[in-house]
Amino acid sequence: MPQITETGKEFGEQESFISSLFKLFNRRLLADVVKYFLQLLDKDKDMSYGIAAIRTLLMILEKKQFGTIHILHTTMREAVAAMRNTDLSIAAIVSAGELFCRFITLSLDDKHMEECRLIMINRGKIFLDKLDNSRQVIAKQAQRFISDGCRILTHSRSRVVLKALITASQNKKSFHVFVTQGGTGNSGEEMIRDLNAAGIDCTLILDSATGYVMESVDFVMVGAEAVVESGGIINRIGSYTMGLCAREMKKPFYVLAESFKFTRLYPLNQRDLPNEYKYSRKHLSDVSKVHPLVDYTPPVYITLLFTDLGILTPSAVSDELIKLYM
Amino acid sequence: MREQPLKEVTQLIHAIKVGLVEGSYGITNKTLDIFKYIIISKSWKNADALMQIVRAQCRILQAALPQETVTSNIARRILKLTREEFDLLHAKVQHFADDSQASLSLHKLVTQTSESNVSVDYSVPQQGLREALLDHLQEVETELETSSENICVQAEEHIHSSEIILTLGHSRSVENFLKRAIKKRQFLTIIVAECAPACRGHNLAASLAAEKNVEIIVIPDAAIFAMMSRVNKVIIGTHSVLANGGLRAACGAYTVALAAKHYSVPVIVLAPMYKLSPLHLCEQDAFNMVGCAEDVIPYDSIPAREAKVYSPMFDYVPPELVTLFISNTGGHAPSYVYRLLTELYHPEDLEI
Amino acid sequence: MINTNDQVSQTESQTSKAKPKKLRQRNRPRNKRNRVEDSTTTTTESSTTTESTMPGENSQQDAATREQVMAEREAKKQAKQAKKQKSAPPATKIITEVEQTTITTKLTTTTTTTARDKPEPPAATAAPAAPIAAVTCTAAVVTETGDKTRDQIKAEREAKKAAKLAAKVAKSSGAKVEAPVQQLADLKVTEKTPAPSVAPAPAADEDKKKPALSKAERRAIQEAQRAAKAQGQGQVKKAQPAAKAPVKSTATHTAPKELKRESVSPVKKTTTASPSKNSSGSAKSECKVKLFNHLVSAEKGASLFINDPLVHPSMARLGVQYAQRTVVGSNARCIAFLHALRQVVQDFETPAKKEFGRSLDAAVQHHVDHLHKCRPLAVSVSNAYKQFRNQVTQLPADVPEAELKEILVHFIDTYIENQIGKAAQAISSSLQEKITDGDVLLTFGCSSLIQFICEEAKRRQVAFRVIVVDSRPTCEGQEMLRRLHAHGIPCTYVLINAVGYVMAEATKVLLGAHALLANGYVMARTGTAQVALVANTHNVPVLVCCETHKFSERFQTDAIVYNELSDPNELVRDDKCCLKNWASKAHLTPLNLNYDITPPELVSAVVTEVAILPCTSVPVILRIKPDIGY
Repeated sequence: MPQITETGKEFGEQESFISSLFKLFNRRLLADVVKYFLQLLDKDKDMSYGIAAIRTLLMILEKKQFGTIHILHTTMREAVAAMRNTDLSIAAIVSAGELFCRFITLSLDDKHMEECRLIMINRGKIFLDKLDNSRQVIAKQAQRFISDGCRILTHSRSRVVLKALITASQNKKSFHVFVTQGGTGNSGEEMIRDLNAAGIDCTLILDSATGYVMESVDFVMVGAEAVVESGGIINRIGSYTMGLCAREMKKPFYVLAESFKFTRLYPLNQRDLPNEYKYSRKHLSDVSKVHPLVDYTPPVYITLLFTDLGILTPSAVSDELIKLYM
Repeated sequence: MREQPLKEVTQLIHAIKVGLVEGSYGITNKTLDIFKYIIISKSWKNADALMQIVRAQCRILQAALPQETVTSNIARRILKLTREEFDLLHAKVQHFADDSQASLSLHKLVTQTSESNVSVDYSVPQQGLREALLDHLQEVETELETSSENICVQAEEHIHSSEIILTLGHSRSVENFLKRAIKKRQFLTIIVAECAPACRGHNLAASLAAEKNVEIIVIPDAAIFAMMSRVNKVIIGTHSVLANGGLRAACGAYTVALAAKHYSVPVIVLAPMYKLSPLHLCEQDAFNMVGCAEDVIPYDSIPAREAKVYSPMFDYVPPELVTLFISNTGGHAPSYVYRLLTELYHPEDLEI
Repeated sequence: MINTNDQVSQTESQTSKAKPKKLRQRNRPRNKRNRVEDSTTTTTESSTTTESTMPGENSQQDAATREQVMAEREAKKQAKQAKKQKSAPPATKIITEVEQTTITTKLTTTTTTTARDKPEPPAATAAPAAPIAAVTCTAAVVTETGDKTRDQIKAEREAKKAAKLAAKVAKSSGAKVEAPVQQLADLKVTEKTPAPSVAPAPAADEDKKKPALSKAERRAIQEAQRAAKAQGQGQVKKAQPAAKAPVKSTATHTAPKELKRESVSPVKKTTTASPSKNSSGSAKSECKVKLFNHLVSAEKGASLFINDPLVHPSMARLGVQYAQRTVVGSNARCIAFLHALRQVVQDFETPAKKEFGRSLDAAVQHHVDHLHKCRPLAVSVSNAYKQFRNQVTQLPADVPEAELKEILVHFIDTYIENQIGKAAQAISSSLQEKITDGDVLLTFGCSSLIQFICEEAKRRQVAFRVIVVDSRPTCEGQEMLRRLHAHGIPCTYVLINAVGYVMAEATKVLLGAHALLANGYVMARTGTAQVALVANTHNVPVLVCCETHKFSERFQTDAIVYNELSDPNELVRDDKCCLKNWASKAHLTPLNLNYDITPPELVSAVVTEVAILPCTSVPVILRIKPDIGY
């Protein structure tokens, strides 16, 4: 058995043989991974993509044996890549996967592989538990900001925002919600349906009516697909416009995001956002004729971020990420 | 469950309401004394019991004086002290490189081992806790006493000669700060906005006028925008600092900050650390309170019978209008306030 | 002549009856009221005499000469009476008085604030003393015969010394006349504070006893000199109004008793505490003045209101009303001015061999200058004056005077009706569409136009409410509140520091304006800019309502370049206020600005009777205004 060092580097000539074997092994693995991932999402519509990704990775960790940490890393990365290819929200998957990998492999002492694995599984479960609860925590924090008779503007469909609004309505608060259509697809209508089901007053508006409506709302509440290192967010296309309008009309702009969405990206402007984030895979070859799926809202337009780590100002996000990755 | 207030706490509440104790510094001192008394004399068996008592009294103080956040701030400090001392004595938890023990963070989330998953049990009786607490409390008291001095020593760095400074109302910190600056710098002009209806600006002006080598101009509140075009700096005090870096300051400070923003004049806020509060601006009702309207318009004037008259005490100043906070620990940007809060208070104590 | 016909006749009769009248007065019981009355009547006498000697012709030189003559005669008469009252060397008195009154009248005729270097230095010296002297003499006549308190004597001596020194100083440099002049003036004026009659008395004695400077006087004079040296031109300016005060007090006028009493009290308020503090007083005002050196201070001499024979009584009354803030507000001041102007036009008598138009023009100019001294002219007033002047120059020739007067009076009436009355109605009607049910209007201070609009809306039974924002020290908002309340409009009242608190509820902000400047800035009561700023932050539209007659061709970018300073003592709240003795504290100055400038980006729209405009379109209106007509 090759020695396992801290970095998991294998010795010499056996490496190539094992890696090639591994690669064969992997293709099947990856197909399974994707299937499992999609299954998870099918079963529970409410699950966030990030959580599903983490569950998948955890499953891999549990089910498969790994020779070295290095192989583990590689497998994880490939699994994440495979999930990305499913053309679902890539930002969440990437950030969750990244975080998970970091999490489980952090400061592992010189222990046996098996021991490591057990530790990692344990950690994974804890991590998952904490994250499962994150929406609850965030919704609770947002309660204080939703007052009776307030008018809220939200962008398309976000499960976190939905949960926060439903919790508020369960606390006997009455308010009115404006929901934008959210571009192509009917995510706006879905949100309206869910809100109506919960008995909340809501109105569906065109994306282009954001500026018109802004002067009559009290604040804006949106979800996020990812929170970047600058403190800004990546969210469905149209969020940037909403942020601009809100700032101009001096309305607070609140973002509800779980902590696993924090990612180490730092876009400078819309163009600087990687194409994989913006376009679905099939359009990546020629992006000039397609419109993007997401946009980047710089931190200056964001008033507060509600996360399970607490209510943060955009400058605190960078602090968190630095602490994590340094 | 209705908690019973201690006799001292009731006395303090009464003193504050009647006006015998006023000013944030005075209130903080008295509150600290009460908690010290609790630590010394009250019979508590373990850290948990102590924290329960402190929390209970803090809740009572909060309910009685919702605007005086310094009382809860000190309570939170005490709670954090208790936890720290307990942990130190226990020497159980491995501290990481930074102080993430206290803060919820991604890092902490990610690095928790299974043992540390169990939160520290404070109900274990601990020897020497009382003494350790009292020691540490002494430090806090010293810090409180020297907070004003520590702010003043920074006066030289921020004010140069021949400056025109604008201030509003009467703040103890600002008065000492300016007096120090006057001693060290030449040809200062200080414009004091009187801050009606209490017109406490007059007191500040009279106090500063005793100094040599300075020119004091008193202006009515309405002239703030008019004078702002000539002002170099705005220096104001505040009642408390909110978690997002915004201020709860004397009524009129919002206008000053807006006018300063319009003319790109830096706004410096003097705020000792005990004024930092982890609250957010959300409950508008509890944020502001209105004072006596008699000074605004006399009760016996005819239109006053039917008109609504308001005399609010506080103003919210958003963090983007503030350039710099000067506290006894140095200067900070408003965007850094979140960090100061995590260092001051334990995240579990944010909601008492 | 500017005086009324009756006054002229009275003058003649008075002059002729001068002697016996004075004798009668001598036997009347002495009390304060009589003293005041007497001083008034005596001053009246002298003023009328001087007036009669001054036909309102353009040439001031001629006037001076004639005045001189008459003044001399008058002075002689007064000297004689004084002689009868007190056993004083008449000769010197008469001579000095003659000299003094000569210079006095000379000084009176020149109304502009130029340094006066009159040919005769001694006369110049005595000049300040002279006005006081004349009044003094006449007043002294009726004061307690020979009973002078020690203070009076001292003060007289001081004044005399100061006057003498002023003469010496005048020889050396003209500007320095002002210093002792002011010194003297302040002395005199201060002396007036105990009782109106006491003040003039010392001056009278001053004439009699010329020699030895007392220590106090010497010190006072030295201080004045030092102050003058230190402050140079600034001092000159300050000294001017004060200097003119005593100057004017000699010249007599026909102001009613009440006016004099009123004017005495502003004297008490505006003069510095005591003679010894004069120089420090001026030094003090330099403190604040570093930033506002260029602005006219509110210091006014008492005699500004007492004297000028060329000023029509209604204008004089108006001047006092302006100075004491009895008449405030752009429209009110304009209307009051036009009413007084109408009176002046109607009472105007063209002097012989002079053209109606030109002489009227000069006379009105004189009045306007007087008003400007009482309080810097409002933009509405100066615009009205400009229009009036235009009209005067366009008067047809060869038309009888009565008809010309008709034309002018008609012009004035139309101006008031159109520019103010109809304009208000037009503005109100264009705004009525914008005021709907449920509106919350926020307004600042007191504006007649805004009040009119609110009343109109109330009449149309719109359900709205008004938030009145007010500020110290003028607290005009209380007046607005009172007026709105009288019409049953629900109101809220706050001070300006709470404007952020109430702005969230407001749907519109309506502001009145003093003037609209050509670069789009709005000049209004101090505090307006702040309200507009906060409104902008809360996205509340700001509407400024301003008639076109208030549009000015001036350019200004901030409130300090040009402004009006009013009495700093208004900032002192009450006796318990810490600022009570601000004058005694070396470096403390309350500052009371009248106006401030609102930048156009803070204003959503300006509502005029022509149209609703963006703030930047003011020059457009100024360009097309002549075509609008009246």
